[in-house]
Amino acid sequence: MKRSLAVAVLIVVSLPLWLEDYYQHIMILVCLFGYLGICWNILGGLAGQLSLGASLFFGAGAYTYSILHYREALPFGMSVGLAVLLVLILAIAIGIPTFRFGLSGVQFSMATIAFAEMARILVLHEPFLGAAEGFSLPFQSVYPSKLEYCYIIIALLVSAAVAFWWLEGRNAGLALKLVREHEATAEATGINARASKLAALCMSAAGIAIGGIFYAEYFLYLHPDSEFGFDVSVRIAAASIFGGRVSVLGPVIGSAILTPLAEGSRALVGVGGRGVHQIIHGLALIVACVFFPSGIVDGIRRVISEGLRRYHGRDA
Amino acid sequence: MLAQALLSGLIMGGIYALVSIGLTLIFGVLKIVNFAHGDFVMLGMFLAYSCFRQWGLHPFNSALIAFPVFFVVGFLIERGLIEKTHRREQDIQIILTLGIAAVIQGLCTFLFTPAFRTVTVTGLAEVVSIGSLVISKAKLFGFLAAVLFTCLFVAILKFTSLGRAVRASADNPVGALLVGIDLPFVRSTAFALGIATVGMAGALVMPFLNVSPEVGALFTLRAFVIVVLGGMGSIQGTLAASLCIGLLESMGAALLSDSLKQLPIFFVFVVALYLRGSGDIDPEIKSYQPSALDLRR
Repeated sequence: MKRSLAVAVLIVVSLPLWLEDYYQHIMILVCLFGYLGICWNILGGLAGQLSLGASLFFGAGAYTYSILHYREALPFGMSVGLAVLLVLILAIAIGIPTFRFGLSGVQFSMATIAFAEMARILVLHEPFLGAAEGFSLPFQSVYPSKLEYCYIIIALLVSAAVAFWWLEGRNAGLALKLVREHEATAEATGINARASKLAALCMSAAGIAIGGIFYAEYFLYLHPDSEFGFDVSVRIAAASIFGGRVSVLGPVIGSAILTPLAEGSRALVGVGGRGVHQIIHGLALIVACVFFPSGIVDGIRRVISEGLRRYHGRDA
Repeated sequence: MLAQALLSGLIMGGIYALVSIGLTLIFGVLKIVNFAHGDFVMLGMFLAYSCFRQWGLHPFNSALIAFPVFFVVGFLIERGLIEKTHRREQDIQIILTLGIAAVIQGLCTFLFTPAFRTVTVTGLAEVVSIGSLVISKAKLFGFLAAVLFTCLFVAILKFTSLGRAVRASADNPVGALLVGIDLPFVRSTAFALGIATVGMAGALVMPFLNVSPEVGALFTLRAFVIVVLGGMGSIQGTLAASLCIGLLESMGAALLSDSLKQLPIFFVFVVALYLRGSGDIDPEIKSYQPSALDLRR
């Protein structure tokens, strides 16, 4: 198991070196949405709070960083720090009342949508943030080729995966799982459910904000409809839900399946076939819900173990 | 100026009532979280648009076609997809309906391109003036039709045996089964009815609203705002909330600015969620459901 994992990691890490430009781009997107999915999963999977407003943190991170770094000419580290700080403040400001009033399930999802939409409308209105024209970063990107971006996002992905894995096994992770399964029991065992959920929201938001900063640096153009839009939130959530919400691997596999499907169909069918990627995305979600409600990773695992059982059964 | 905003808000409120009364049934009563709701409005608009382009059919006539078409579509979707998620957590339903929404949106983008489309009906282009107030005929007739169909819908829910069955199975699924109500059939029919009214609403608004594949999400969000604000499942509440949201939107546009007109809606939405916030929607009914379905199978 360990050896196969090492081989897989080696292949993935060497992949950008011999891929063409376009495939490097796809790989960056796969890793980006895998990374965002893992971050989303801290709140959505571990804590079981289905957030559909991840775009709020994504957009806030991207916008704050770009404006501080490029318009106000603050140093890189400081801009990133301030962007993450702002997103944390946002997350706390949203999280405290939301969990205080006991919003969970659908109501939590709807509240997150509402907050993200409010942010989108405000940014779309505010001339300081570029309003409907969007915000363009200097056309000269920091790195000359896609290779560097590829490795940056792989590094982010791996560190997020390790962090998630570490969190999952610790008391804090177990507490979150218990809150997800049964909040009253969690409270009875002395876990502060509200504080755990708030912590999960903050971690998730900070991670997503860093993803937003990467996105800004890579695409060099920000627009309220694409950064704060509902589509981004759904895309982030879809990657981890399709892959499986309880494991580290889920979002990565989910993104590795969904992103190439969406991008590939966009490239294959061309401009005439606009909307095809949405259809594929939607169909993938529907299939996942009807056949693999606990995610594709779990589904595959179950199919394999079922096959093995049959195989051995016939042998015996 | 303010009176004009009030009037147009009221008119839009009437339209929203027809859109969200279907969601009241689906989300408030049946507890199906349908995030594809607004996309069916959009689909209805495109139906009316293509009927108009192809055969010159008046959008109000298309509304009558839309009803049976969307009824069948809704029935099939409930039977084929949503029913499979009844026993599961609501998260799965949210994702499933988001998937359905994406498919509808993608399909419309594929068929009609993302451009905005309009329909100009000759008889409805002029305006009616009441004193100093002006209202376009298209909006006025759309409003009247919406009010009529909303009343019809409410009457069905209140006075027919189907309506009684729907309300009974929402109140207490086990009890409904015991008195001989075919629960899955009633659920599918009610869902189909909700979708049918929404498709019809789409056709009715076509003469005065632009349609593009992206307008669906806006309708979905508005409809959820209205249903939550109206108390999830209360018909009177939904009607009142529709008018409130219509007014809020037009006042927002008049007092703030056109680009900020939706801000107050979401603000009110969040406040409404906080004030109502009590975790899952009716946990008691949720825990009833599996056993009720087990009885049948």
